[in-house]
Amino acid sequence: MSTDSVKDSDQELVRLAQEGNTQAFDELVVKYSPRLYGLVYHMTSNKEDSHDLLQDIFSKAYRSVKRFRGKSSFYTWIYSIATNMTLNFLKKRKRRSTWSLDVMDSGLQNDEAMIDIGHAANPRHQSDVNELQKKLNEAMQALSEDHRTVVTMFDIQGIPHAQISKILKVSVGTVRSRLFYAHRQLQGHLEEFIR
Amino acid sequence: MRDSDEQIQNIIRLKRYETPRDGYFEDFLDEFQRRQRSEMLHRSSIGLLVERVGTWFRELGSIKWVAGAGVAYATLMAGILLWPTGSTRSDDPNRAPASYEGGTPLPIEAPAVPVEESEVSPGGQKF
Repeated sequence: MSTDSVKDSDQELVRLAQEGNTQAFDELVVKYSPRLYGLVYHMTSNKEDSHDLLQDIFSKAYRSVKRFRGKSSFYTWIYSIATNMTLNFLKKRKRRSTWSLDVMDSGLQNDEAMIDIGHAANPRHQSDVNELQKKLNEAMQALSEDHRTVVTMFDIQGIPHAQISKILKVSVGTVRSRLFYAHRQLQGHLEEFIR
Repeated sequence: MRDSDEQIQNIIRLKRYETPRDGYFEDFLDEFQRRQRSEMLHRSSIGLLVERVGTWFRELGSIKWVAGAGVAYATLMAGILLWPTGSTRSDDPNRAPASYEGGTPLPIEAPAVPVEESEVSPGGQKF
C-alpha cells in the first residue's frame, strides 16, 4: 500500500470518526496500536505502564479527533500525542523505574545481528537472550529521554529523520545530532557486543 | 567509527523482537471500547452540553470572531445606553454647589511676627 493511499484511508477514517463513527476510530486503534505500543514500551521498559499509557493516549485522541484539522497526517498527529504523553509520564515516574519486559520473539535467533553477537569472540554472550535483553534495556534507560525517543523512533521503529522531526517539532539536524550522541553513549554501554 | 555505529544500530534494532503476547492487541481494543462506553455513561449532561457548545463554537471557524466582536459591541452599547444617568446641569438649583454665606472670612495667613532669639530660653520659656 502506497503512502498516499495510507494517508487517504486514514483521512477517510478520521472524517468518519469526527462524525461520531466509533467503528472508524476502532480501525485507527487497530492500525496504530502496535506501533504506538512499541514507542511507549521502548521508552518506558515497562509493559504494564505501556498498556495503561496507550489506553490513555487513544482516549485522548478520541476526545480530540474532532479538533484534528488535517494540517499534518493522522500518523504524525497521534505519534505527537503519544510522545508528549510518554515524556510527561516519564517525568512523573522519575523515582520509580522498575522494568517489566515483554518476551523476546523467537525470530530474534535468526536475526543477522543476533547471529553476529552469537559468533562474537567472547563465548559468554552466546545465545544468552535474557542477558542481551537486560543489557539493551540498561543501555536504553541510561539515555536521556530525548535521546531515547529518537533511538526508539529511528533505530527500533525505522521512522525516517524527516518524519521524526515533524513528530517532535524539531529540525532534522537536531534529530541527527541527538542520534549521534545517543549512539556514542550506547557504544559505551554495549561495547562487549561490538566486534 | 561508521562500522561500529552500524553495529550499534543493528544491536539496538533487536529490541523489535520484544513483543507482547499473542492476542494482546485484540484484548487491548476490547478494553478500549469498554472504557469509552463507561466514559460516555459517566459523563454528566452538563459536560456533554459544554462539549457540544465548545464543538459548535470551534466549527464556526472565522465567523466566531466576527460574532464575538458583534456581541461585545452590542453589550458595550447596551451598557452605555442603559446606564442610569441623573441631571448634571449647573442651572439646577438643587444640585448647585454649597456656597459660603455670611460670617467673617478667615484670614488666609497669620501675620508673621518676628520673635527674637533672646526672648526664648533653651527650655522654651519666655523671660
